[in-house]
Amino acid sequence: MSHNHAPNKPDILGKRLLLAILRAIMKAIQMKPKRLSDWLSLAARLFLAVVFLYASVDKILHPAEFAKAVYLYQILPGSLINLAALILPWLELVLGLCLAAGIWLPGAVLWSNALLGTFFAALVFNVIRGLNIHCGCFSTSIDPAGAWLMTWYLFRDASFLLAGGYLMVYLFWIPQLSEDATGDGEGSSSG
Amino acid sequence: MYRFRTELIFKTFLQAAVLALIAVAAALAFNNFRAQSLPLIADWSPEARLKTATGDSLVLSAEQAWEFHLAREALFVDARSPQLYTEGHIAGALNVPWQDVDQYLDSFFKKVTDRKAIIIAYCDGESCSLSEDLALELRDMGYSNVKVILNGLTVWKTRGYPIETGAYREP
Repeated sequence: MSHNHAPNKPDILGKRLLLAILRAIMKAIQMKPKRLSDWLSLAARLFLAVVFLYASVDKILHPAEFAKAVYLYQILPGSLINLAALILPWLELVLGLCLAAGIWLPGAVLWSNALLGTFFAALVFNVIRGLNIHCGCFSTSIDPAGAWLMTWYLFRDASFLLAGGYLMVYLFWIPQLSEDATGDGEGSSSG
Repeated sequence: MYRFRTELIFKTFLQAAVLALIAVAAALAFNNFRAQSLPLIADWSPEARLKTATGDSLVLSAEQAWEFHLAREALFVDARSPQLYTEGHIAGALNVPWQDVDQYLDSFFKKVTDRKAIIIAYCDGESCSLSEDLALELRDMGYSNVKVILNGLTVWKTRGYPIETGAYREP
């Protein structure tokens, strides 16, 4: 079966290449997942990165429409509406990039939770006072939103907060190593 | 056992501040260089939003609207949903729900042939923007005398002006 060797070689090469690429991606996102919590935080990070990046694009392209959505929330004073509508999407973009690339995670995660918490609070506030709003979260088009849609928004925003909260805990609370293993500080891989 | 990493706090806030600065700089730069930049501070009061390009306001006070109603000089248009319309609307008002406006515009054109007719759109609540949207749409369609009563139905009711329930009736 010696004639099989030649066709096999590219396969092995391909496998090596794939592994190298995977390793490079892991290195690029600065993670060396070892424990379950590492994998979970990686998933939460990428999930939030996609959410923020997706959310920012349409709003960056259509600031006037997004400003209208902010106005319809009836929370910010009129003079702050345009500033918020201009800056918020860019902050989301920057946060999305940081989360995806794994750079400046403590700062990015703090901002993510601050934003997600604010969005959630604004949504809850408007549900309580009975204002039906299209959230303007991902698309700037404004349609009258039904009650079930508001419920869906609440659940969805809550899931974002859950991911953000998990990352916060993962970054800021590290397992206390036992005395004999405190040598090299390998316990955290936060970057 | 878990330990809170107090040594990260300063770094975290420093990073957060720099990230915010980056976002602000990018936002202002992008807005400055794009074709249709947004003014950084705008007047979002309903009156200001309803100023037309010529500078005249679309907003009508309830008293002015009532005078038109008495003189039967204006057509009132309810921009809310058919359900809310049946529950109570300004006497003689036509229902053109903004949510399905395309379905209603054809019959509206047939009914209101005079493009100079005085049309007064309204909905309900301080923040309701349906009447504004409808008014601006009707203007775009060529009706030149479109007005809006802000917080229409509530104001109308509190002054004791006539309300009707049920389907549309010829005034």
